[in-house]
Amino acid sequence: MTRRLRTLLPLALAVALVLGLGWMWQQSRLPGSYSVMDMGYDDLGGGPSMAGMAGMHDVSLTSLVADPQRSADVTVTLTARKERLRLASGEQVDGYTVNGSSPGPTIRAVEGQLVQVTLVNASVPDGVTLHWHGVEVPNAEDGVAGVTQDAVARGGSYTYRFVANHAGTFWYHSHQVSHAQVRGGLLGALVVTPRAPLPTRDVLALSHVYGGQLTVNGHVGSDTVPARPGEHVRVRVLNTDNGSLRAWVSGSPYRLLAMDGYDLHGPTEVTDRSVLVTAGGRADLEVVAPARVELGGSHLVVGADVPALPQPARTLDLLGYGTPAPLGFDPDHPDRRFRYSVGRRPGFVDGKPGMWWSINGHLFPDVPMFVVAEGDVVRMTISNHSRATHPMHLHGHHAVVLSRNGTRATGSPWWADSIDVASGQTYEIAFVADNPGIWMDHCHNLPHAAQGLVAHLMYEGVRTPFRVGHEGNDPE
Amino acid sequence: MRKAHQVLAGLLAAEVVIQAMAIAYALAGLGHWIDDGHTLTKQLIDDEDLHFQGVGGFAIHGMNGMMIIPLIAIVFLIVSLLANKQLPGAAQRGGILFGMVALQVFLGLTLHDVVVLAPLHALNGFGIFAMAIVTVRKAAAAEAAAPVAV
Repeated sequence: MTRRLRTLLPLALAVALVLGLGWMWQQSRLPGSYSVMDMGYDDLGGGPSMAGMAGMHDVSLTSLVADPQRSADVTVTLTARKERLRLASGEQVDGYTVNGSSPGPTIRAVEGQLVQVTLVNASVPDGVTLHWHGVEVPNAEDGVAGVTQDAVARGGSYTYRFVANHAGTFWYHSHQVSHAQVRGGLLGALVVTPRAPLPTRDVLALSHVYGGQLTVNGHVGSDTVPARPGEHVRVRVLNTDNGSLRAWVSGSPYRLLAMDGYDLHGPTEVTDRSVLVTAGGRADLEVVAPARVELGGSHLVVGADVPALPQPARTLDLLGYGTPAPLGFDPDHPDRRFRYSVGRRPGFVDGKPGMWWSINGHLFPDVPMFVVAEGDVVRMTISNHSRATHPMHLHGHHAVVLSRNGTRATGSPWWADSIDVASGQTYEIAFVADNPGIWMDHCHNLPHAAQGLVAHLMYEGVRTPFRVGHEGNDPE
Repeated sequence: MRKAHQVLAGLLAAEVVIQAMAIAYALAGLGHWIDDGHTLTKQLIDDEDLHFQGVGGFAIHGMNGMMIIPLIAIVFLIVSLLANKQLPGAAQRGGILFGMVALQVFLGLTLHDVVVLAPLHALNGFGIFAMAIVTVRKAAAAEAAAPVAV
């Protein structure tokens, strides 16, 4: 009997293994096209469930637009092409251009103006969209292929309209096959200035890697902007890459005026620390010329060049920077509490075996759909146990950082749309659900998103007619 | 099944050698590139578009270690379970080697966070190689001892 068991047990184990793996493989396969509304499972975050099934999704997100009667204050046409591009400093690389260059033209608007951008796809075979990173646009203008629109095919066009309702530094980029198109340069800056003119001149330091070369404003290695000695200059650092960068300043102390397009309250002088700018994030630094804004491998010279300072050993901790100010809502009595825990485990995604990113233990597409109602105060705990850093980006909202690893924020309110969550870290954030729609909440290291590190925030009552996989829609 | 068990164990041993060669090539290339005056940043790493001799070694090490070797290890485990009747002890060695590969993947990912685990990753790699060779030899010895079919 024992001998027979010894023979049969391994056989039974082998059969169980084969069947189990086959079942997991089969279950993981994605249909040809799907709606993100059908992805995964609803996470109500302790809030009330969606009221009944009838009429549950009664508003199409296509109706969530800016006032159609209002005429545009800023009108821009952006033409996207896939081509060999010449960087501002002369080097040629394969990639994508917007109006013939990369980075594309900087769009400038004054707070409150209605911006109208017509995107034309001249020659991008996979189709294109434009996402307004950090801008709280109406959901229909969010530019996510398969979620808020169909990708714009070659020869097609699409018009985005939104009110630039918050002064700050933002950027636009394709959200169709984004891991390839953003890397290839289908992007540009969007600067919204306040109604009252800024006291200082503002310049850009847009960092991007083209063909393995670090660039600033399209110049390999360094760019220079003129400035008078003693002049205060606001330098808008934009990290458009997949990995974080550290910015610091040689030749001048600096103040960190804003993060992710939102001004910090009571910013003080910084001398011996660098600022961590996560992938997709922005940091506005005020420097006094002559100075060099170091971006870790590239730099922007402001005025005359000055000797480079080595990278400071310490990083500016935004939890304690600046002085407190009212948030405008009470994060301690939230209507919903969500957990966004990033891990990594073996399994199958769309039939492909590997070590995949997980969200709350689940693999894509069986991930949580964070359900909220308009007006909810939402608290989210983002933790990372995946052994890799993730720049987490929530579309359509800014969240305030409440704590990191249990240490509470004591400085200026730190509003963010892109948060660098290193392995082992836990962030508590809060926001008001005040922009109805279906919004991506994903890792902005875009290959990670393409590997399934994507969830959505869905307002109850909102539906999307668009489908991922349909019309070539492939948002990541 | 006994032959498949033996061949797959040999393949696992060969994969360990490939892993060591790939990472050595990549690290040497990276050192040479930096010595040449280049700067490595997180942005460049995450852009996945670095160009220096040996850079492919990182991709080979990662793809092999996280996908191909675990797949071989799973097939090897199944084959070992099936071969146990012909070759007593095959299931046990299959289980041990599979467990060591699982540990290796865990260490390989975790060492990015807990750097002190890196030497254990290397040590366990040698362990997998040794265990795979022992498995090949046991299978070969059993084959030699088995009566020849007429």
